[in-house]
Amino acid sequence: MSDFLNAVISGTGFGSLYGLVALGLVVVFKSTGILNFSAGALMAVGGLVAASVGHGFWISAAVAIAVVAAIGGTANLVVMRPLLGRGLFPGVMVTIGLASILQGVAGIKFGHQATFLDSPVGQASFGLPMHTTVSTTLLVAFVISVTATVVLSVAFRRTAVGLQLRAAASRPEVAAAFGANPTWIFTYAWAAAGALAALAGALLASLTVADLSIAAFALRAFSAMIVGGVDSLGGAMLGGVLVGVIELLAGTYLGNDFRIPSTMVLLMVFLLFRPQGLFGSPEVVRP
Amino acid sequence: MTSLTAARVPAVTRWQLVRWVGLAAAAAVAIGLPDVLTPYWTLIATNAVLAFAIAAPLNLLTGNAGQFSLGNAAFLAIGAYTGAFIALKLDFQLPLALLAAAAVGALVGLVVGLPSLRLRGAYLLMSTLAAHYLVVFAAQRFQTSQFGAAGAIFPPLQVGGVDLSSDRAMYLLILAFAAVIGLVIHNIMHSGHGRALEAVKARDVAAAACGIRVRRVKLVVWSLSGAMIAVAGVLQAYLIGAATFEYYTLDLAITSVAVIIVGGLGSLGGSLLGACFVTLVPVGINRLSEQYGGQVGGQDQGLLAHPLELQTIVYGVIIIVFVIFKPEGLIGPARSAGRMVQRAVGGARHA
Amino acid sequence: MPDAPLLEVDGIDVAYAGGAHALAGVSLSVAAGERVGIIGANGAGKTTVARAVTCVTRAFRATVQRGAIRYDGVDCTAWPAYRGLRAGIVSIPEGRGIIPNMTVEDNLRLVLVGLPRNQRSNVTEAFAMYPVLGERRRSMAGLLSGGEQQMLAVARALLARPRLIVADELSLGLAPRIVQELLDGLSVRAAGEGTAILLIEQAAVLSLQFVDRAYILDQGRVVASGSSSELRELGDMTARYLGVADLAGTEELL
Repeated sequence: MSDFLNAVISGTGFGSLYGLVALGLVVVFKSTGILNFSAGALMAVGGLVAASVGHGFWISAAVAIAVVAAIGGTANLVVMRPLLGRGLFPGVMVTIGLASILQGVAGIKFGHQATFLDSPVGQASFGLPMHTTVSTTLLVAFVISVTATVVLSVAFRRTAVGLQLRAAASRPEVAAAFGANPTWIFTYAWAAAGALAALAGALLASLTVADLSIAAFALRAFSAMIVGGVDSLGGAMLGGVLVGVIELLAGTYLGNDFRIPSTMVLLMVFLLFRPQGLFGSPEVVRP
Repeated sequence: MTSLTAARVPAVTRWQLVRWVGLAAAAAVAIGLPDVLTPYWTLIATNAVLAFAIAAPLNLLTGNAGQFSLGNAAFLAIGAYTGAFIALKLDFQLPLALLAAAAVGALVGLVVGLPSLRLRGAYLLMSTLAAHYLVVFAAQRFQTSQFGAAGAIFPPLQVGGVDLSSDRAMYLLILAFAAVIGLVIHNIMHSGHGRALEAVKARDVAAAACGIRVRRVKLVVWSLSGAMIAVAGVLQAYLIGAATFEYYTLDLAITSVAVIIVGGLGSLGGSLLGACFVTLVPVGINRLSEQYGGQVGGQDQGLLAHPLELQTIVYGVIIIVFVIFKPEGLIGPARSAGRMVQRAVGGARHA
Repeated sequence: MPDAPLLEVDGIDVAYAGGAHALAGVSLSVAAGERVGIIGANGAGKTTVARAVTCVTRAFRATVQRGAIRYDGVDCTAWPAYRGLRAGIVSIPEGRGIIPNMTVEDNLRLVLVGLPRNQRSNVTEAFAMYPVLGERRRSMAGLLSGGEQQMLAVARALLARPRLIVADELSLGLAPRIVQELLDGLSVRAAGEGTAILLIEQAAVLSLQFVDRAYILDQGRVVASGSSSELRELGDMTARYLGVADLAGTEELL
C-alpha cells in the first residue's frame, strides 16, 4: 500500500512539472497551431542556467526564467514569424531545429558534467502515515506549478494580451482585423512557454540533476497536453498529474522500462478515443 | 489511311537521349565508386546511399501523401530485429530475412497508419511519436529476451556461401537495394496512384468526392513505406554490425525528416540530394575540426573544438534555413539546372 | 467631388495563393460620410474587396498585385490590419466574424484593447445600443442566434469609433425584418458620427434602398456604377448580374 501511495504522491509531484511544461505547449499550440518540440531543450537550458547561477534556488530560477523567456520570445521574432500561416510541418521542424541548436550550444557552454541546484527548501523529506514519504522539494514544486497555472489562467482571462491570444487561437484573421498585432502576441506566447519550461527545468534540476537529459521529460508534457485537453490550461496541469501518476505506478508495478511506454499508451488511447482530452472543447479532428 | 492514333510514337528526342545517357553515366560512376575511393569514403558513400533508401519511402509518405511521420526509426528497428531473428536465430539466409522484414514492416505500417484514418495534423504527428516509443520499447523487450543486453550482433554478411561483407560488396548491395526502392517509388509517383496520393495530401475530403478510396490509399502508403524502411533496417544492421535498441532514437527519425526537407518534399531526386547533403555535413565538420580545432593552444578553442555539438548546431541551422528560405529543397535548383540543359540541348519536339 | 475621397481603390488586381484571380482592375471610391454599396452575385469578388479595404488580405493568403488603395490620400495597400483599425477602417466581416468560444463581453473588449487608450470607448455603450447584448454579456458568443451575433458584430464595429464601416453580407441568413432593424440602427448612428459605410451585398434591393451610390461587381470586375436611382432603372441588366439567388429581389426592380 505504501508503494502505491508513494507512487501516487511522487507521480503527482513530477506530474505537476509535466503540467507546467504542458501549459507552455498549450499556449503555443492554441495560438499558433504549432507543436513546440523545443520544449525539452528549453527545460534543459533552464535547468542548466539555474544551476550555473548557484545563488540558491529562487534567484537562480528567476534568472533562468528570464533568460529562457527571452530565448523563446526571440525565437518567435526570428524564426517563427516567417512561418506564419505555413502550417504544422514547417513549424514543427523549425522547433526541432531550434532544439538542436539549443542542445548544441548548451553542450558547449555548460559541458556534459551534471551540476546541481539547491532545493528551494531545506529539509529533504518528511514522513506521512502509512509509511509514505514526501520530498519537500517535490511538494514545493507542486505548489509552485499549481500557482503558476492559476496565475496564467487569470492572465489569460483578464489581460489584453490574454484576450488577443484567445481570439487569435480561435479566429486569427478576426483577431488581426480587430487590432491584435500577431507578432507581439505570439512573441508573448513563446516567451511564456520559455518561462514555464525554464521553471519546470529548474525545479527538475533541484530534484534530480541539471544536465541535458532533462529534455526527455518534455515528452510526457505532450501526453499531458492531450490528456488534459489541448485548449485548457487547467486541463494541462491535471493532465500532467494524471500522466505522472500513471507513469510512476507503471514504474512501481511493472518496472522502470515501462515508465515512458505507459505515458505513450495513455497518449495513444486519448488520441484515438478522446482527442479533445478530459477538459478540452470538442475539436473537429476529422482526417 | 493513317490516323493520328495509328501514328508511330515520335522518335526519341535529343533531350530524352541526354537523360538516358546521363542516367547510364551516373549508374556507371555509382557502381565504380568503391574502386576509386578509399575504404573510408566508400563507407561514407554507402551511408549516403542507405540514407537515401531510408528517406525515399518517408518522402513518399510525408512528401507525397502528406502524412507527417516520426516513425522512421521504429521501422528501421522492426526490420533490424526481424532480420536478426530470421537470420541469426533461425539461421536463414538474407533474402528470407529481407522478406520477413518487409512483411512485418508492412503489418506494423498498417497498424501505425490506422490512426491516420481518424487523426490529422498535430494529432497524427503525436500518434506517430507514441508509436515510435512503443515500437522501440517492444524492440527492447525483444532484444533482451532473444539477444541479451549487448544486442543482436550481426556476423559478416554471407549469402549462399558468398562473402558480401567487404566494403565494396556492402556498397553494391545497398546500391542495388536503393535502385530498386527508387524504381518502385518512381513508378508509384508517376502513376494514377501517385496522383491519388497527392489528392489525399491536398484535401482528403475532396479526394473522396472524386472517388478516391482515401482509407485504402492511406493504409497502403503507410504499409508500403513501412515495408521498405524495414528492409533498409536489415541492411543497415548488417552494415553497422549490430542492432541495439538504444540506436533507434527519435533523433534518428528526425534525421530522415531533415533529409527530405533539405532534398525536397515529394521528390525522389530530392531524397537523394538530401541524403548526400546530410551525410556529408558531419564528415565536413569532423574534417574541419581535425584541421583547425586544436590549433589555438590552451585557450578557448572555439566551436571547432566541439565537433559533436557543432554538428548538432549546424544540423539545426540547416533545418531552419531550408524550411524558411528553401522550402522546395535542393531539388529546386537542380530542376532549374536540368531545364537549362534541356533548353541548351534543344528541348522536346512537339508531335 | 470637391474633396479627396475618404477611401480610394485604384485599379487593384487581387489573387489568392493558389493562383485564383479574384479581382481585376477594380476601382471605387467612398467619400466621408457617404453610403456606398457593392452589389454582386456569389463569387463576384465582393468579400475580396472587403478584405482588401480592411487590410486583411494577407491573413487569407491573398495579395494585391497591382494598383493601390488610398485612405485619406495615404497609400494603405500594405498596411497591417491593426493600422487600418486605428485609422478608423472597421469591418463587420462576412459571417459575423465573432469568436464563438469567448463571451459576448470579451468579443466586445477585443476591439477595445486593439485600440490605443485615447481611442477606446466602453463596452457599456454597446449594451446601451443593444440591450439584449447586455443581458447576454456572459454567454458564449457562439450560442447566440444569428441576429444577435450580427448585432454583436455591428456593436463591436461601432465601439471602435469608425470613420468607415465595411459591412460584408450583413443580411446573410437573417430575416428581412431583423436586417432592416440592424441597418436602421446602423444608419442612425453612422449619420450621427459622420461615418461612411461601404455595404457589400448580394441583396440588390435592400442595398439600393440603403446606399446613395453603388458599384456592381461581376467576376472580379466593376461592370456598372452610379447612383441608386440610376441603377434601379438598369433593372434588366442588374438582374442578369445577380443570378437566380436574388430573383425575388429583382422582381421589384424589373
